[in-house]
Amino acid sequence: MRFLFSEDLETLREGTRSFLEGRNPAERLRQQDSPSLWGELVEMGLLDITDSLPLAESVALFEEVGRVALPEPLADTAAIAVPVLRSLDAAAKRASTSRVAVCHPLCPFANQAADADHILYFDVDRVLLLKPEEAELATQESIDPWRTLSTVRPIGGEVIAESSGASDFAAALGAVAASAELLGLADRMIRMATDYAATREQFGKPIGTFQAVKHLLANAQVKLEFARPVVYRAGFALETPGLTRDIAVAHAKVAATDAAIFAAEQAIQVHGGMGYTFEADLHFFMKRTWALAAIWGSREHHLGVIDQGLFTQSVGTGPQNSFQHKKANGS
Amino acid sequence: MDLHYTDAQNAFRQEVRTWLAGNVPAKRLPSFDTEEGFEAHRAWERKLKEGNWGMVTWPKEYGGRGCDLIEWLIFEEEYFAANAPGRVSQNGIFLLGPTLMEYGTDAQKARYLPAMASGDEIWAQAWSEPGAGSDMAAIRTKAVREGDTYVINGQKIWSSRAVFADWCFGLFRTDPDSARHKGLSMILLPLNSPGVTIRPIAQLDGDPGFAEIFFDDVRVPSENLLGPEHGGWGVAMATAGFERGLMLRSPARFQRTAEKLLALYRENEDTASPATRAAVTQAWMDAQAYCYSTYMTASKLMNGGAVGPETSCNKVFWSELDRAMHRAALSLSGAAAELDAPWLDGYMFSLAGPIYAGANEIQRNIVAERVLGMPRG
Ligand SMILES: Cc1cc2nc3c(=O)[nH]c(=O)nc-3n(C[C@H](O)[C@H](O)[C@H](O)COP(=O)(O)OP(=O)(O)OC[C@H]3O[C@@H](n4cnc5c(N)ncnc54)[C@H](O)[C@@H]3O)c2cc1C
Repeated sequence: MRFLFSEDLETLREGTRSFLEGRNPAERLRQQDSPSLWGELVEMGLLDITDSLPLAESVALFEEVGRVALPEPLADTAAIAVPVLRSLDAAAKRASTSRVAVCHPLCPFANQAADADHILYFDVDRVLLLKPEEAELATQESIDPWRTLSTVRPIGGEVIAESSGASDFAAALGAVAASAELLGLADRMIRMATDYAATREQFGKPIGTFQAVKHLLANAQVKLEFARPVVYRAGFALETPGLTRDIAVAHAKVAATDAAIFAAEQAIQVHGGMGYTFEADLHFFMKRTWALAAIWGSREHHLGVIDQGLFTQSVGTGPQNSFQHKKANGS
Repeated sequence: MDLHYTDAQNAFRQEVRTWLAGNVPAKRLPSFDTEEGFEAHRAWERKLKEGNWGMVTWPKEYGGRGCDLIEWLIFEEEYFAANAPGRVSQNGIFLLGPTLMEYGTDAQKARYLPAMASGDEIWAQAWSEPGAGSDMAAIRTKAVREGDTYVINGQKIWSSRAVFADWCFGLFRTDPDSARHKGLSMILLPLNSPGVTIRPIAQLDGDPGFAEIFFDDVRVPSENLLGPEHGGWGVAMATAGFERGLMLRSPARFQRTAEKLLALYRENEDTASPATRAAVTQAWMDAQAYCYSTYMTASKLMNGGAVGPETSCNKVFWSELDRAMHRAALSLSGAAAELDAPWLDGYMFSLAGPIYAGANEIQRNIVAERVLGMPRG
């Protein structure tokens, strides 16, 4: 039992953070024509991160992706497509530099599908791998300026699996990656508000000296502190299908969504009128938050899973069921 | 990252479970805020000591088992699952004990820890004064040094179970010319010292769980100083760190309450509202979240890390969770919620959680100023 990332991972996380902060500062989010960082992400090895790291550890890197609201849809390929294709022994179908968009019942609008090399398409009980030209894409407009969405109707492609297992796995991977990004977003928004409160002055002093303002952000920080371990716990459950995984993942998505939505609400409040503008950077992070809250299972969806677990399937509760333990439990 | 228990940890769990199954009293003990209940709880502490379970994380020589923090969490999980009695020695074992480990001399550790682990000496905390609650640096009770003796004069208040306890520890102003955080010292003293007067104060439930402690020329040997003279603030902050951080309220306590709340919901499912069902679900999630967070903190400490001001988040989180769980339980209880029963008792005590161990508003100030770095006002 060790609920801690390795030092190597923390080093990798630091490196990833400074790379992403350096290459994707908030100003870049205003430049819709900014050149893609995809090639650099590939060079960093981020696409194949789950080949070199356990899924549980890769989660930490998506926190960093969320922190900068990265426009490139890294999670679709790195957090979802790569592990799913690997689990289907279909890894060869994806060249190491290729970019995959994902369409799934819980994520029905594929992001930047036209720019992808492949679309991984999940039906209830089959998985298709398509080229963008093997699908009819109908544009949908996201509130997030960096998410170019479309519905996907396959008109060709290859069936690579015919079972629900891969779809369930993708749903879990997608929900945990989105949860991790939401943690990063929450942290970033709290920091943005903290910085703003240190410089904006009213009544002759920084608004951050007012206790009412402090408590808005302290509350957001408390929520974040107690969402983070829940997401990490779900990351550890990813490899093992079953009720434990389903509930851990559902809990993660609810906790991370609640923490990020709450952080966004406190952050805009602290920014005052400036928060309600396009000029302040905050909106990019809020909009990404709303988008990620909606996909890979809404709050309603995941609360339903937990409700089922607690009230219908009678999942083990209480202090002896913090984690799975083979021998001692229930004996 | 490895969230599986080892075979040794599973075996330890089994050992705790077996012992508790054979020893936990079948009947709930009377409240430890009454004389009878206090002594019944002391007897239970002695029983725990017989099994060598007094404080599992301490070194063997001080009455412990040398367990690590994960084993402590396992012990706590089994303890709460077994409905074992509340720890009347909590101020000693969870708060003063760790502080002694950090600041005590070898002689002090040998003198105090074993008697603490066995329930032979039960400790009260003496921080608060009528004029020094949240603002603890306003402490005025004086301890004036005369050779190798401190002479104490003044008054403490809200001291839990001091009416029945044997010893107390707290902060006293040892430098009469000092102000605020400077010039305070942590001193340990027997509550039966000449010059000590203890006046009970009835708590919300009517039991004398609080006391005022009056000091009238109480003489205490200077060897009862814990940590540096005039440097008591730092020592007290270490105690507060344990209190808010890891030890005082282990996650098992809240997971057990959540489990009972789920059971209560199931009994009342026919009449319960969706709103309460949502509250019950949220309670379960939050209790789990607190558990995961604590395992993370324990792992960090075991890996040589330290905890900082972020522990103030813990206190806010668990105290407000506890209150929400009891509120939901009362909502499920219908007209019977009015009757004196465990959920109502628990609700009353849950109202104290956001006040004691540093009020939650103060914790939020700490989170804002010391975790987020917001400007002091
Ligand atoms: C059940 C229980 C057990 C206790 N046991 C002990 C014990 O064993 N030993 C001991 O020494 N003490 C004990 N206490 C006392 C406890 O530590 C104090 O009650 C607590 O520190 C608050 O101090 P106070 O009661 O003077 O409230 P006050 O400090 O007067 O606070 C009243 C209200 O004002 C708010 N407030 C105060 N200052 C600020 C500020 N700067 N910013 C924002 N809000 C502020 C508080 O948050 C609170 O809501 C216990 C209390 C309880 C309820």
